[in-house]
Amino acid sequence: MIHRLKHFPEITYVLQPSEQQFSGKLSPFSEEIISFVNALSQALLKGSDSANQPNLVALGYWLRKSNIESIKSEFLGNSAYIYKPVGTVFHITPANVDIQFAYSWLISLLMGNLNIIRLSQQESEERTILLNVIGSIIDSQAYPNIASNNVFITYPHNDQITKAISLESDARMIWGSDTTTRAIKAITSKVSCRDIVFSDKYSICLLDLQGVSDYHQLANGLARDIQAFSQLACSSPKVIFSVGKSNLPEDLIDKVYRHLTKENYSSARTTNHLVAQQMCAARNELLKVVRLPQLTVLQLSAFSTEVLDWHNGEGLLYWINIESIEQLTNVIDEKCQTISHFNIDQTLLIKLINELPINTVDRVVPVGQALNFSIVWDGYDLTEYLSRKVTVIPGR
Amino acid sequence: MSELIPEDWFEMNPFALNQADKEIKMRQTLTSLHHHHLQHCEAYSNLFSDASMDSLEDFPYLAVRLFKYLTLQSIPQEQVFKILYSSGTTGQTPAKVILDQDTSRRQSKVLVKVLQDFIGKKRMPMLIIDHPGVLKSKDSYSARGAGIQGLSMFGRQPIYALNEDMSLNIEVVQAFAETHKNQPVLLFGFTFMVWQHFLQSLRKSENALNLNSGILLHSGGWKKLEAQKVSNEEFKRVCRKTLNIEKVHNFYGMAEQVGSIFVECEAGHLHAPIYADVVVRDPQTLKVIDNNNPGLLQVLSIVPGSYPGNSLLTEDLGSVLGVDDCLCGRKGKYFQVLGRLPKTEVRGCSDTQA
Repeated sequence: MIHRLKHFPEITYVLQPSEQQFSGKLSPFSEEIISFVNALSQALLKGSDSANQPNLVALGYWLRKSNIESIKSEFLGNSAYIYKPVGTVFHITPANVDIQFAYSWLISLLMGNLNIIRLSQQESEERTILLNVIGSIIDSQAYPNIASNNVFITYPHNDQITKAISLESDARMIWGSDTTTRAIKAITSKVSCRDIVFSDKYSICLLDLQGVSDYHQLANGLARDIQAFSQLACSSPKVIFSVGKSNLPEDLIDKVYRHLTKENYSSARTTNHLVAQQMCAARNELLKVVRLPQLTVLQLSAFSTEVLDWHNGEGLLYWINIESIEQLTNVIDEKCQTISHFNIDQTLLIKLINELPINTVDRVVPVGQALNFSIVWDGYDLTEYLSRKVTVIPGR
Repeated sequence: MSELIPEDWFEMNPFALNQADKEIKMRQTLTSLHHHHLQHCEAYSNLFSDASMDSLEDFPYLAVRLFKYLTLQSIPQEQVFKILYSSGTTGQTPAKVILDQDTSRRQSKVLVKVLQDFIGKKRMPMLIIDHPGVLKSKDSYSARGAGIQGLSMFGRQPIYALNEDMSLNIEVVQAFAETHKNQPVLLFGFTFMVWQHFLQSLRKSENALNLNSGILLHSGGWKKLEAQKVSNEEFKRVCRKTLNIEKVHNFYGMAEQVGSIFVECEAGHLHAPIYADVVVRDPQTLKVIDNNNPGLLQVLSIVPGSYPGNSLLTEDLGSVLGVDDCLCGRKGKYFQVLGRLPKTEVRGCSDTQA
């Protein structure tokens, strides 16, 4: 496979590929893998470059030994099957969440797969640091199978290349907009290839401020969920539904704003927020605007998913007061991924999930954890999807 | 409607008023138009209030992207005369602009007034750098087709330089150059097409034309040329070398604000005629910024009456270079366009193709 990629001059290797062929000698959670992942975790948490990058620290933390061990024991648990990798996994990763590729890749790596990771053509400081860290661990030559089994590439949009790789892949992890995903799904792949698709989604936050006097924890959590990846990740909340209070709590908004660290937003940010504001106003849905340097809040009289069309991240929240949680069942559609919640009774949350349409909402997590990655994502248990169960029935 | 925008606007020389006098006159008309849209366009009245405006900078502006998402009009349906669609990049929603007869008529008048100031009153043989099929669509006017149609008024017997597949029709072009040797001729096309399908094709085929008395007008933005690192100077240099044309005028305008046409003068500056103006704002704070500093362009125009497009915040960057004192002698503000805001529309969980 690696040799075949050489036919395409458009492909750039983001990390120097190994001269070795795919070895295929790894199995789920094998020693070399666990040791590699541990080294990566340490390097990210302790490295001088990565320690300043909150998203890289979060990745390092997620990869910590205890977490990996618990994923491992839950996975291998009390199964009657023998687990094998699925084979070669092709990761088509997104541009706006620049280090998402790492989560996609690492879960697949833990399962012992061979990986071809297509990164977006858009570089970022964070991503470069991460690739350097990965590269230096691979270069240490302590992990020969990992060095030969993982290829990091980038190439301009090119169906021929995507097809060539797809025809050799046993699974494709497709992260992207609906348009991109549809285009990739239309490309012929190996007949037994399984597509694991992460298409356009949005996330919301559900609050009940009644009886809450201290906003510190909430503000801190909201700021964390909004700040990561400039609020462009699917899991970052774009809409806040507040139960039972009719005023916009400006003291809370002010506290959220104070928790946001200064970020270099794009020069289009103000115009993008102005478009959202004017669209809502023109439709006579805008009740109030709070505009702070790092945060814009638009209070709306009602929610429709259309307002998401002109949401371009970078610190923009739609705020909607609702009388009761049940109102959500009428407005949320199938593209809703995460509900982050604060001060909502667990029984009410479970009731809500049961009452929502069958095909919506993949995660319900406390405020502040919206971006925490988990092996169950968009409804897939990725450890299951990226492995094969082998049945072994003993005879005589 | 016509009393909203007095006819005397269109009898004056488009560059004769100095900035102070022009602003007084524009402010009067823009104030009437503001009230008109407040009364007749619901979306506009949801957005803005009846405040008094002391200067042009006080006029509220619509983000230009709203025309992609909303149908904005200040006239009853039966008065809709034509609908203009912006070309837009493939896959993007085009902007939609509603014209009545009056607005359409004013647009043509203004175009004539402004362009005649640069190319003279005489109609010249014309070479259009596009293919004839671009005009075929009947009901919907694409900005490209509308632009060509609008400019065709300034020429005689328009000839198309390209084939349907955008290849150069070299025979036709050479015959045109031969027939009108040493005569004034007019060339028009969209900047990128002129560069890519005309100038580059001529260069590649090692053909040069002698159009020494010709004038080339071009418009449509530098985005694609910027990517190829082609500056306005380089563009002009290639025009001189390949076409032997000295008179090359770029112009800036947009479908969303009909009648706003800012033409590059002999000194290389874009000029605001009396019917229109530009204000430069800080991209972050949207406050007005000083001349010679780059920022977001807000454009104002007295031409639109059928839809609330008199004051728009564009997504283009530029800077005001001076007022009333351009070497070419034209009064009012002159400015330059510096490209587009980067990355204005990012989509959801993003684009793996990027």
